[in-house]
Amino acid sequence: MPEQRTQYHFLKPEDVLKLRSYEFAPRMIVDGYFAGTHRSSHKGQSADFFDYREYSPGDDIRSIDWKVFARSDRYFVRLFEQYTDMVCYLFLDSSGSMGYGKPFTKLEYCSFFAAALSYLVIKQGDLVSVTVTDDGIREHFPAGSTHGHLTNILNCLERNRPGRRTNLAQALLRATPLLKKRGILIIISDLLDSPGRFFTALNPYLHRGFEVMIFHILHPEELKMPPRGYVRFEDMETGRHLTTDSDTILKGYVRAVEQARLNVRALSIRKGVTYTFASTQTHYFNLFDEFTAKRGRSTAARLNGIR
Amino acid sequence: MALSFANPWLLSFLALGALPVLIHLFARRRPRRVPVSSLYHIRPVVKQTQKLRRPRDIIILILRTLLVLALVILFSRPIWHPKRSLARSSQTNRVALLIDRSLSMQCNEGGLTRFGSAQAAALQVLEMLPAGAQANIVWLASGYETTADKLTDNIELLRRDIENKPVSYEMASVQPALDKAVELVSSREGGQVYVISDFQTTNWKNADFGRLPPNVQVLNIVVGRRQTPNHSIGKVEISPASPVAGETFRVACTVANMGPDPVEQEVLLEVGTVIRQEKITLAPYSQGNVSFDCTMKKRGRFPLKVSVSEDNLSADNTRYGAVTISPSIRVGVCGMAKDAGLRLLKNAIATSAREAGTVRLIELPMQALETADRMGLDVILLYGWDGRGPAQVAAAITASKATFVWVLPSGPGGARGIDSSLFAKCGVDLAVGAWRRADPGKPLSMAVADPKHPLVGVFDGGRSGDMGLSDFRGAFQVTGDGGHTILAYGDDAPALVSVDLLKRTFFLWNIALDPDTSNFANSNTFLPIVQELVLQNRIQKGHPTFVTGDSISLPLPVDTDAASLGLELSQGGKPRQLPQRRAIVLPQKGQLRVFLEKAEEPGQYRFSDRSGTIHLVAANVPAVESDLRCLEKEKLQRRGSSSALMLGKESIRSIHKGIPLWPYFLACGIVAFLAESILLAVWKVKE
Repeated sequence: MPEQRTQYHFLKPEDVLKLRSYEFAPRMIVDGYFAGTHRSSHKGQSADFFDYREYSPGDDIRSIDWKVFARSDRYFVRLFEQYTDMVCYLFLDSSGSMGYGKPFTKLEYCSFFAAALSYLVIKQGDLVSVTVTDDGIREHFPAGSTHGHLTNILNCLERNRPGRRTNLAQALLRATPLLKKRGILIIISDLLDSPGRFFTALNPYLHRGFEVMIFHILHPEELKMPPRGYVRFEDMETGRHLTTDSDTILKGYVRAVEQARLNVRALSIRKGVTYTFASTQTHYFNLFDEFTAKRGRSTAARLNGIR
Repeated sequence: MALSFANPWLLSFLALGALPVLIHLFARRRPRRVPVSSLYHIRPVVKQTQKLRRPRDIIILILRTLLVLALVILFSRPIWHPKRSLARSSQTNRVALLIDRSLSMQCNEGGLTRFGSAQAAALQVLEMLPAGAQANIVWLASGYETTADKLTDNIELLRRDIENKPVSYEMASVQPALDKAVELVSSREGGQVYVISDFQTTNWKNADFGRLPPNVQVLNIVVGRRQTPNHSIGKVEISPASPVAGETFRVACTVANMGPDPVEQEVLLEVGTVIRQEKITLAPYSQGNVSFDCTMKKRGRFPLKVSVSEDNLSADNTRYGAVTISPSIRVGVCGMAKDAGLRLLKNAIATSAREAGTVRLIELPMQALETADRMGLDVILLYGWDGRGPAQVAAAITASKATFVWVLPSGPGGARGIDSSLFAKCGVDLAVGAWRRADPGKPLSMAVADPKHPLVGVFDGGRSGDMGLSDFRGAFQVTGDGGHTILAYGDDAPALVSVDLLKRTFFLWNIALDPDTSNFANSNTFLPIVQELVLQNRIQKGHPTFVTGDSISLPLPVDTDAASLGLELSQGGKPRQLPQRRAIVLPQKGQLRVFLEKAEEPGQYRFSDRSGTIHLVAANVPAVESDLRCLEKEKLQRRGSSSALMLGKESIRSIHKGIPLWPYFLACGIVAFLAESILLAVWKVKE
């Protein structure tokens, strides 16, 4: 039995109220098992006519358009749009580095976003799957769309703590057999890992037709390191330390972080992955706004193209 | 070599040099702990910047450490003593200065003479002496002289002496002066001898430092460059030494080049009103000869000067001399046998006088032989003397300066023959025997026995006739090895013999001149041999020459007005009257002499009274001083004993007080500070 709580830290009632006005939809056509609100790649029964196709043996004769037969003396079957449900796979990076930041950590920030997203997906009747990763898979929730499923996810987020090193590539590779149905793959991480390996690990998903979305979350101090003088930097993931004069590396560090961000962005564009960057300073609702805006533009374009 | 510190206690602060290192290490070990999400982006950046940062840190650390160390050492006032040992305090209290004032110290190097440098160095040494120190100066020249009898604490006296002492024209006689200087400080306490000299190789190569007492330290202060080019006039010779008026005489002189480069020199001769000039090219460190042929018609004493262009050492560029032009060669003929031979001999001399105008025949009675010198005779011919009485003949031969020619009689010479005991008395192995008559059908013939002898040079190649054409019916037998046969008869019997008698040349003429005995006096060889005999054997009345530093002592004629005796020194220009006291007339063995203690300067010294010039002599600088090459540093050190040091004049101060090093450390500190500031600024701008 899922744990019953009246209030969750990462999904407060006021957040639920705000989320009413949001909608989360894939920009692609999905493969679902059940009827839903999303256009399916399969054609089936619905009110939306899609196209004609010449009859071939085995087709349901009920789908033959007799009026066309009367005019052309040929058998054509009518095709209709099929609407199905969507599966949203959430990958939440819970490595040690995600524990960085004040007043709330990157992990907390990402948890807020993941909870809201999960709620949103389930609210519109789709399925959501959550995978908590560090250098592997720490916790995995298969796709579900029930309230209980949401409760389980929220409970998981509540107890989740920063883990070991970041190794998203490893986690993605291991999760490949777990993600059976094509859907939306959302990765929420600080991406403090080799982008090359990470994008290599994404290849099987992209090949299978997943829509991949990356939310790159960093703390403001990670973007612009404040001058601290002679310091010993301690790695939160590995415990390793490095002593240096931070003032002397400030410029180099900022340049390196910016370069890494641009690198990930460029790779995302090349792979057809949606890349969204945010610092923990901005409210996670803004992510939805930006995300929605991006999706609105791209989905419309895509759908127009299909038609 | 030694290093000492004026404030050695401050050296303990050298530990402060560790301060920058400690600060560096301290700062490094206490960094602020800053957790970061990951070192993923930080590590490569740090790696890149550390590459530059680490050497910078080390450079800054070194500069700061250097700065601190330089400051500490600066205030410790280090003093460097460049030579291995400092004299003990007792030694520095007793100092003798041996200062070279020989001619070579006149050499001008860069606007300052070596002696000037030596004076400056000596004054510096005096200045360095501690209070209560005793010192003395030994002046080095041909002899030595000291400022005080022994070591004195009157340093002011020594200082004045150094300032006022002139450089000499003399050569350096090193060893006695060195021994004197060592003797001055040789005592139980020991002392120091500062030798301030150019260490001219020619004078110092044999100096012996090896016998120094163990408590005497010798410090050599070199004031000259090792190689300074110089050229000089060396020996001057006049031939003949006393030419007669109208006779050509030759002035030959040596020109030396004491420099590493070849030089071309113009040599100028001035004698009386005659001026001659010759050019000569000399290889490095070599000498050559230049000769001038001159003729003077006036008789008298003339100063002579040979010079080359002036150089760093001008004193040796001129050499002085004097030449006396005689009116004629005075030949005295004392005839003791009145035969035709005497007439022919006189005729021959008279003919020579007519032809050359240089010979004057003087009939000399036997009684006047004693006064031959006063008559100024150059050659005396004793014709027909048989070797016996009168006594004044033998006395005149031994006493007179004139050249005697003993012309043996043209016949047996009476029953007693010839007495040649004169030779035996003078220690010469020569004897005149009996008359040897020749076979009537086979007369004696004569030939040149020594073709190289100058007398018979005129017969070379038959120019002046053939000796062999004369016939002789007889001749004296001459035996013994004491003479040198110039002409001889066919049977090798001597005909003309030169004998070294009482350090003068004496001729024995065994050639019959009487026409009854020989036809030689009528032959064409007779006149040339007589002329050569007279011309070549006149008295060489050359002028004595002295070297500067020598004392001059000359005889005076008995009728000299000693009260009006004066002395002039001429160096080419207007003669300079020297103080009267320098010429002292000393009655010596009944003879008046003029005496000058020391010829201090080169030039012509003219002694004269109211009647005119009595003596004209020249004094010249010693040729040995012209070679200005100095001993090599290493050789001088090797020559020295263990306590002999070699110093440049600039390091005299360092002997006692050492070289203060604080300015160098101050400079070092400033440089370190500036370098640090500049580097930090540059790095900041770069970052």
